[in-house]
Amino acid sequence: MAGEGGQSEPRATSAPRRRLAGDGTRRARGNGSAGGLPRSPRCLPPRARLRTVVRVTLTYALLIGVSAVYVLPLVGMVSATFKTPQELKRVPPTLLPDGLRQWPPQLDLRAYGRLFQSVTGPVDGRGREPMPGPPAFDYPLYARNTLLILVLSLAGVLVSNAIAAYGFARVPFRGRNALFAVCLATMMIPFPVIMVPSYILFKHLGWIGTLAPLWVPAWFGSAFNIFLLRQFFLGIPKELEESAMLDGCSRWGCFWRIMLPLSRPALAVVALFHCLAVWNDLVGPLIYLTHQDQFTLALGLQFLQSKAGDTPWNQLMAAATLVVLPVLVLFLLAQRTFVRGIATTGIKG
Amino acid sequence: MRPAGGAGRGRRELRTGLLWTAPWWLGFLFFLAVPMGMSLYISFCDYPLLQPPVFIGTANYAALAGDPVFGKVLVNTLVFAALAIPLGTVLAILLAVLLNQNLPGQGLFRTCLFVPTVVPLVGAALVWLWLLNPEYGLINAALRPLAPLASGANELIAALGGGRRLSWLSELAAGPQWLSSPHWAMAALVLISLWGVGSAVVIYLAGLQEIPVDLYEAAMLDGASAARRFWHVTLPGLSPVILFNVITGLIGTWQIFALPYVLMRGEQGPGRSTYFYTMYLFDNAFRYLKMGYASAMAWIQLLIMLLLTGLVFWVGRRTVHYRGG
Amino acid sequence: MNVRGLIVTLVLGLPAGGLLLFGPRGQYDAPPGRVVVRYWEKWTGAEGATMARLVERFNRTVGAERNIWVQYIAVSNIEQRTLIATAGGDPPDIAGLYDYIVPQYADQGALRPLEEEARAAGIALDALRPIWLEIGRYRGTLYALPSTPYTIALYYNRTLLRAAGLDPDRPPATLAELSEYARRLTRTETYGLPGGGTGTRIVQAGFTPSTAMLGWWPWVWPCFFDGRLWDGQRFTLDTPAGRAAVRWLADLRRAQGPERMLSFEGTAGAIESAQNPFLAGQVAMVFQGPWLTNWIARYAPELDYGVAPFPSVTAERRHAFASTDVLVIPSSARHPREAMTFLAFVLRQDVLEELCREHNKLSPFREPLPDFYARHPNPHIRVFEELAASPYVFGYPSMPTWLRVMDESKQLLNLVLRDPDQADAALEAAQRKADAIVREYEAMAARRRGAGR
Repeated sequence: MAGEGGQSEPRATSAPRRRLAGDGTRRARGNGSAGGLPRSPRCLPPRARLRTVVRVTLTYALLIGVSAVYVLPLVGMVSATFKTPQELKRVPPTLLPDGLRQWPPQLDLRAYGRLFQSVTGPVDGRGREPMPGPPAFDYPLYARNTLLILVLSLAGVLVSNAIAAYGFARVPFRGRNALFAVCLATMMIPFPVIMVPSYILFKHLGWIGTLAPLWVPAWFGSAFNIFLLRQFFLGIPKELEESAMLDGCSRWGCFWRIMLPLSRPALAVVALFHCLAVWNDLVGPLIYLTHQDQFTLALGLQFLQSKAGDTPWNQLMAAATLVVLPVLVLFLLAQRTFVRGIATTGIKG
Repeated sequence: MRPAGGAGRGRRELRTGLLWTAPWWLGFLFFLAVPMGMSLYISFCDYPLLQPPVFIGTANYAALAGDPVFGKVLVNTLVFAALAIPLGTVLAILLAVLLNQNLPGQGLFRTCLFVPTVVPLVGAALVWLWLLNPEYGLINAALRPLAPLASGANELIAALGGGRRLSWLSELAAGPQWLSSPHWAMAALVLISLWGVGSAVVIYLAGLQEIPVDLYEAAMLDGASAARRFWHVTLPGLSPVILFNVITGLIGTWQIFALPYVLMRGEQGPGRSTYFYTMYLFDNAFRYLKMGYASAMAWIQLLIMLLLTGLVFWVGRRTVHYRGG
Repeated sequence: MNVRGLIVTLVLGLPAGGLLLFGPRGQYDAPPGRVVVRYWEKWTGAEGATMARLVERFNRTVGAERNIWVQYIAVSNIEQRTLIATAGGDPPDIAGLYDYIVPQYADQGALRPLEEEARAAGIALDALRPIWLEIGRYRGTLYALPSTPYTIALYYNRTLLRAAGLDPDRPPATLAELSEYARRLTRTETYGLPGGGTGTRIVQAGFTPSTAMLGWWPWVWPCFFDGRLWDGQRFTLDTPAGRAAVRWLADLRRAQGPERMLSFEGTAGAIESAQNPFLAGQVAMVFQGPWLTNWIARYAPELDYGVAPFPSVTAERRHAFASTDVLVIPSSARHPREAMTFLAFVLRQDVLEELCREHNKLSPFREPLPDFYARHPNPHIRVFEELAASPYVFGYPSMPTWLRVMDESKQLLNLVLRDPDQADAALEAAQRKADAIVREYEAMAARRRGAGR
């Protein structure tokens, strides 16, 4: 079965890969396309070796610099959660929180704590029992809502797109190409065009104020995913199904027992992209959700930021960190699939 | 493979095909075609959402033509696209070339570059809001050591140009106001979009690896320098990928909404300099209650996008080099 | 499945599954059998907690008798959310809106007229000060009941005044004096630039109308020059008063230095914290409401400050800005009668005055109960009260297109603060835009009437 191993999966590209390097072995990466051929530095004359060393050093320097710049905002975000508001306003700003400079190093977790508290208590200092109210950032609630939408829509995405893509890839019928062209064209339709009528449509269905508008449409396929899966299906040799059909297997059987199991990598990519999209979606929840206890994480974060009373930065960053964390973990664990998925769509585009 | 069967078989195949692709075209009808039709009709109406739409002909479109805010958001969005797409493409290609050196640790760098695209927009916007603070943000702190360079350059220009200094250089030297300043706010947005260039880098990286080595060998045999190899082998080889990225970039930047919305806290920005097309559309629909007007804007947005995409394709037809297969 | 896949599933799947199955489901804890009335309010924090307490009291007493249960939900962007929900057919039964949005929503039919039902439910409308009811009316019909009214005054930092050689017991009485005070209360410091040379930056500003530093009403300034923003038919921005206002703002800004002020204003801290610009001594004088004393008591109790009417162009004609948060019932609400029962409870003098007192705001009643002032946490509440009784009091323009013009006036102020020399031109442009907005609105309204709706 195709796993993360790399080379054994069926390819989506039809051009033969000619990647013989100078030493005759098959290389999957790094053909040094900036201009050179991959050759071991040791077999080069001294001047060329110096040039290679300079080139390598320069490359590393640039890469380290750029990577640091790219990662810096995230580092800043996390470190801001451990700072006090005074620290955050210090000029010139420091990257790491003061707590880390002490010994033993301490991390100030109060920003996180305040997120989960509801701000209650007496207004004028006279003794009163605090009234439990909703916390500033109800992370478990928002996370649960987001997960609910995610699970319900993910099922729909996988099922509907696989079926439709199979139809476009394997089932011959008149006008199939024209229909697929239309499908591709829909990728270009900007959301605002359908934003208002979709709202009216959902209003007539009575779905405003529920989670339904955020996951039901996922059960009806999306052009991007169909495109991706169709490319993948086309790369699987037809012979597998033809021989199965000769043995009496139905179309559905072929799909279920042959195509799907082979498509795990592509389906994983679709799933990962979808998870990202759901986690980050702001416009949908902004329009369709009316109860605070239905908020998703993205919406809850925006709510926290736009509060009338203004929120201190460390709390905002703490909330943002909590929102980013699961996606980061998912990404770090499933990195190769992410990257390969993006690369595959890009090349065939 | 297909035995002669004529119309019966064709119809049966059509039915099967439509059945299989039903998830898509059912959704297309309900969630796309019908709303688009409604949206077109609404664009010719006055529709304050709480009352039924009233047909008013092309009044909305005429009003758009005379609306200075519409002109401003159109220009803003175009400027943003004109800045972000070329800069992003150049940066992504350069980074991909850097990464393609097959050096150890490549995976780590690739991850670092890619992580920003995984971060939710709202979270990213908040982080940048903090980073871009003129007084205590890290960006200006990093620029402060460069201030003497900028002011020195400005003095040079003044000396050469008879006493006139470049205002933006002096602002740069003092530490730009970023989101509070009309010009620098746009620059801030472009900066943030460059920060998210990681996915494009990965695509270009894969594209680079598709280029056959023989072409490079042939070029080297002809005595081409590294720069010429880049220009005549790498870039043409990458051209289909570049086309794809430019088009997706166009679609993306044209619809930019969540990032400036959060950065500006739902407001319209200093001098409306970061007020983009979709934000104005959203405000018209849900703040000013002018749904008809908003729908007209949406259709114009679609038309412009089709135009621009067509333009890019046309340019691509003449410059993109497809390899066999 | 390989090891990696297993790890991913476990690390992410287990917490996700746990959350899905056992996670919180929100505040659906109404006792069975009661009618649930949804009440959306913009108040969070301590203000929200006060209202939540009142809601809980209602649910225990009147609600239990009448079989009603009110669910209090804090919502951001409340006007937008309420509108979208009303249009979507799923509005709350009660919404706590800002008063400036009432004309627009009432004009579109989003709000339910309240007068008859309120009187029938026993609400003593005549015991309220007329201005607060006026604010809730649009074209004569009452759509909104006042919840927590307030006026805006001048807060000044006595310590800073003393340090600048000004009499802390004599706050500015006219706008000219305000400018003079502002000039003397602005302090700068020089700092070294990394490459040699020095720069100056502002560390204390006397006064700034910027929205970044507690200037929450960027459009009011013409009203202190004896002007008003609308005359019932159109918006009147470009009037002698309007011009005087933008010139005054431009002069103020030029004296302080626009770039330096912009930079300075970017350093504003969080409002409800010790880094609040007024609390932290960054700004010596601000135009703010009664709640500021609440924050002072909490975050900067040692602050020596004073409250006075905000100066107008003359000392005799003291203009005052009055506003209030309002309670409305959306027109398509599901339980309007039960909602009105709750409103009747809230509008009881003892209940409402407790809410207003806790919020540090004024009482909407003509004659507040003695308890109100006795236990009011704001030591300067009488100043605010007198402002409400001023003959020159003004509120938001009662025009349905106000929101769009408000956005334009915000842009106008930002432009003037950024580039004071453009003040006159910007004002003319703003007037033209306001006229265009009103013309367009009236054209549409005429078409609607013509189409028989």
